[in-house]
Amino acid sequence: MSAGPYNYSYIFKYIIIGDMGVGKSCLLHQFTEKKFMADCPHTIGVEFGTRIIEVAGQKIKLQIWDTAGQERFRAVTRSYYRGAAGALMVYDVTRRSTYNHLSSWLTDARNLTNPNTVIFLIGNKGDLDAQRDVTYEEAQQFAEENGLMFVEASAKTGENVEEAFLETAKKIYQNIQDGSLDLNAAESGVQHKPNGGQAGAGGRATLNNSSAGQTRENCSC
Amino acid sequence: MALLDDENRLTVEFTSVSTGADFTEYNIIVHVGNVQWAVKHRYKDFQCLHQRLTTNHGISKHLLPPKKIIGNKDPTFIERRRIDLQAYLQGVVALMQRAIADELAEFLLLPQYEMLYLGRSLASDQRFTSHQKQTQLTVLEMHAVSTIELCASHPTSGGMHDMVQLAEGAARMRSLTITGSWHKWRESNIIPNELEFNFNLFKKLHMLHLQDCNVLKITDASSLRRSLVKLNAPGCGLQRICDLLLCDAVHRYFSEEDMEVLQSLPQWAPLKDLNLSNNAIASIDLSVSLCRKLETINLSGNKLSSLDYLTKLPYLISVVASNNSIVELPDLHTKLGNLVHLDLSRNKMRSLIGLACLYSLVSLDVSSNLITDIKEVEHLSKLPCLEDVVLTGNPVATIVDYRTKVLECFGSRCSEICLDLERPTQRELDKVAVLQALRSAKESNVSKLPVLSMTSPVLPLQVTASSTVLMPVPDLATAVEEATKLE
Repeated sequence: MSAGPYNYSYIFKYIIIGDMGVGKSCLLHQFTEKKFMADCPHTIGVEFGTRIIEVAGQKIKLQIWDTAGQERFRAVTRSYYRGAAGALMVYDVTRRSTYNHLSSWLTDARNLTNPNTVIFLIGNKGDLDAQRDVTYEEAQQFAEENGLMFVEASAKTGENVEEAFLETAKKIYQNIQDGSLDLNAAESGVQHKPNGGQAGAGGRATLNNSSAGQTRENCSC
Repeated sequence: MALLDDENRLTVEFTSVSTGADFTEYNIIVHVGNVQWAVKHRYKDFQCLHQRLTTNHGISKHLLPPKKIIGNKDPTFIERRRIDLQAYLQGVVALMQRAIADELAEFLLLPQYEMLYLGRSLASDQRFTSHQKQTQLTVLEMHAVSTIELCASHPTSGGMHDMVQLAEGAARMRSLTITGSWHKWRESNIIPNELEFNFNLFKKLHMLHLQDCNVLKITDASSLRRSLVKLNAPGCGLQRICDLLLCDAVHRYFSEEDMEVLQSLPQWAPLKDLNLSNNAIASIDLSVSLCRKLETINLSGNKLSSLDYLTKLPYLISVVASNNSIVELPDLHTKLGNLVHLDLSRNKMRSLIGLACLYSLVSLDVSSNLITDIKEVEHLSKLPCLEDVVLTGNPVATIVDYRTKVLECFGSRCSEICLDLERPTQRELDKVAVLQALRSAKESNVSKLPVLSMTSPVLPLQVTASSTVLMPVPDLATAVEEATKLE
């Protein structure tokens, strides 16, 4: 086999939240596929995407939960906050209502994630400047008041999409380094895979065993 | 319930006599109100009682019919003695109605059947006096504790001392098992599961196990709601979850429209683990939303055909729904979010399509269902966290090369999958690699269309990558040759 299953040393779990139609799935698609998906269907419940990135020389696998924005799925998507190391909260710069709902999304995120979860605010559809309904400045102020990281991005052009995902990962990695994020805590949203990437075909079986045992320990408590 | 008070007097009657080889037993029925029980005594028991009553309580010595040594097996004598003994006991009982001597109470087995006496004996029972890791009580005893607790509020009853003892003991308990029964209690007409009980004195229970109990007779569970972390109620004949979670509420059945009322009711705030196995629950109702912190729910051995309202539980990690009547679970990911363990074994599922988007799943048990087609397993192939899959007992598990065919579905992740509690062997993995290569070679021959998947873009890419490493020439004939060599 070519690439072993653990050619990365960390798994970070992300959740993408925000109103219906703000472009959550498109941001994810742009990030994982580097393509814009024009006619994106409504997400039913939840979708999933993954990509391996590099932060400070460490390979990190991002597992990203892309939640449905529709109100009827609100209950089921709520459960995905649990165990998320990063939350990307998205609004649409051309629709003020999606911006106004941010406080409700933020309440959910604060209530249901752990205190170390990095919350990143993304103003999507930044390419549609002519139809802008929310200014950069007011969103910037909202982010500052609530201690969020913030960027305006465009899933269409790809502008700032990489940055948003990577900055979140950097912040999480920084939290691990300075010890504020406890990897052993249940639902930290981060899994460490020691010796990730170095395991050959022979060593894989044992590595698998130990990691399976680890996850089980985490979950049973 | 048997409770001595001004309305429910103690009376006795001698119904019959059983004659053994060398002794005669008198069958006495004790009545308290409409509760009755049977007590058997020989003449010498009466003698013993009488002696203690005369010395301790000043009962006249001559009341007891005298002993007879010869001819005491004569039926007419026995009949006369039965009447005499009955008169004696009725006389003593009438005399002591206001203050029953302990000797008499014991003789009539009051501590077994009468609640104040049972409660009093519990107050000095080691289950209440010493610290135990795990306490067992019967429903009858729970009823007695509850009765004492209620009676203590009447200043005249004098049960205050017992009540304090019981309250201290109950407040110490962390883990409690209560056993009920629908059968008559010992020699009485008391049916334990018809007795009411409450948990007012049990302030700090973490674990409660209800065995064969009638939860509808719980009159107050408010202290449980505040402290309980684990609640087991297997085999309690429950038809609805709300019958347990709202056992002490007047109104139990809530629909979506009453959601606000339901949310205003007290929550089972710390509850994390709920076991409702082997009941008769046909559907999950809204009352589960009262256990917001719930992490594990066991609903095995019920009559479920679907899994509803579990979205109300954002902390849910594990669902056990084995041995139910589940045929299909369409779009389960819209009903269960972020679930880690799912047990659907021993159901009637034919398809796994409904599980295709439960991306958070780590372990899945669908053993002993009706899954026939290997294509059903492909629905699981995109679950990125899946590690444990159990498929035994399905028709699909009997097909040739079952394990390699299942593992093949998982593409590059096949080495991470533990199938039927066994990790794939190196030989299996090699075989899977060949099968995957064969397939991708076939696909690239048939059509040049790339496989695009939005949900898991890494997967197909890795499959092609591995195939090129293994098979520089994707030629069908050589691939088949390779495969046969490995065999």
